Amino acid sequence: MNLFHILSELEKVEPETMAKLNSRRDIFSTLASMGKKAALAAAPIAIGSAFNKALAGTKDVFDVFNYALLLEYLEEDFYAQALAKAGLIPTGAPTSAIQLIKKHETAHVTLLKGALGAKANPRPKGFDFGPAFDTYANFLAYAQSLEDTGVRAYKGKAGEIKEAGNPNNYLTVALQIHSVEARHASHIRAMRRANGVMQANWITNAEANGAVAAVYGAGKPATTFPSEANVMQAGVDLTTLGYTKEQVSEAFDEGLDQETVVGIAGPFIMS
Amino acid sequence: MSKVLHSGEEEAGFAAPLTAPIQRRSFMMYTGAAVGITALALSGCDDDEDNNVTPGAGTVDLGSGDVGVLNYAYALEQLEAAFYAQVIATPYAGISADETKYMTAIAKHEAIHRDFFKKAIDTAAPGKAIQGLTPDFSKIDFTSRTSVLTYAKTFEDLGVAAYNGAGKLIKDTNYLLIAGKIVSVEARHAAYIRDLINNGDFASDDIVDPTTGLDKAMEVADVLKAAQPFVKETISGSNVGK
Repeated sequence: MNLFHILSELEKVEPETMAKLNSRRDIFSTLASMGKKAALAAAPIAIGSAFNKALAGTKDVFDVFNYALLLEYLEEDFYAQALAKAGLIPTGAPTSAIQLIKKHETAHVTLLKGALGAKANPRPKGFDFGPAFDTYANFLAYAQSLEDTGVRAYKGKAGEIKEAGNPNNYLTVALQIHSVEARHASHIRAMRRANGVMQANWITNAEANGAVAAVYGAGKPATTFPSEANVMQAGVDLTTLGYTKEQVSEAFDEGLDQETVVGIAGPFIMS
Repeated sequence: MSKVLHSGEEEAGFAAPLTAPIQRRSFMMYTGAAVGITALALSGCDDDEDNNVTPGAGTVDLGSGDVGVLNYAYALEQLEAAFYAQVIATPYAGISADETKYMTAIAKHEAIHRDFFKKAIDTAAPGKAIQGLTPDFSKIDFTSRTSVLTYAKTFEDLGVAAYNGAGKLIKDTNYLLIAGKIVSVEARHAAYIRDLINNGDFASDDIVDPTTGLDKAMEVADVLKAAQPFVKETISGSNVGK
């Protein structure tokens, strides 16, 4: 098998594809890590996968950030609408907390737009949150749904950002947003508790407690993105170490895939 | 003798999760909290351990590559788990029923994280897991709510910043996802503890940059410098992720 020959042929057929690869060396370093024998046997598959990875490096990270930007547009608008409705959120600590959260979502929008530059997608025409602002209880339930979704969504994309080569330290930035969403989620859950919903600041099993149930369910594939009730980590059932399934489920927040997240958030977006 | 000792340590990691990182110094406190037979067996092991290692005097090297990152997380989780185990064993004055309930939950989460990392390292790289560390909580007044919450905030915020900074060091995407699953729980804890100190401080400007909306991310060396005063052994993390 002549790998150089295959690459030459590919260059003729797919000049754009080849231009996106930094060098042939990228392909061979991938193959080299497989060992010579395995590499020869699996060469066609390995080359295809190496191309996909190299292409992902030039493309996907912007898609990921635009996806994050869409979620941040949505969260920002949600809190802006809530704060604009007189009498919805009690004055004092609750209003201050929502103002702080809104400030962070606006900062995330600005940050992501700056990182994307000309590639940034525009803000959707509007967002319709239905009955979310009818009552304070509704508002909190929606807020919890959005924040817990945000935590799962960022987590679900960490691997893709890493595999894209982590340009400009984007992975760290995404993680720094991710943990802020978790702080928000924690506080919103406490606000709901203060408003009569018995639950902790963290997620027990896949209990939604009146928030959107799909936020706590399994994603696709469920093996990578199980429901929040999951007790298996790295192949180990952690309940076998002497803990209850509630405790184990609380100790780990699960990630969620883009399709499932868009299925949850999509209905709010007016196109 | 050393073989017996070793199996005793293994048992500490699995069969007695809550007592695993608590070494001899704080052992008396835990028997006082009715930990029971496993802990009594452990104390025998710790006495033997004195023949080989002087607790608190050694250097612990976290190692390199992903195993180094896992050991780094394992070290921090040991510290957090030991701290909350102490909070539960000797509750501060005036602790409320809700605080007892949620502090107990946090103590379990941290113990689960600790035991998970031990198990993950033992599976991925047998023999590479660091030892149980000896906590030094002499600066902390466990009878004082203010003292406990202040240090809890320190540990939780440090944990969040440590995971945020370590993400880029992880080579295996599966471990990266798992680190992500844990860091958001630490952030939930941090927000809860901060709100206990002053409601509304869950993500205040001192921890979340008001301009960028970003949480903190810290490098390994800076995290270990901050954690070192609470651990007897000297922790070396110069090759973590390399």
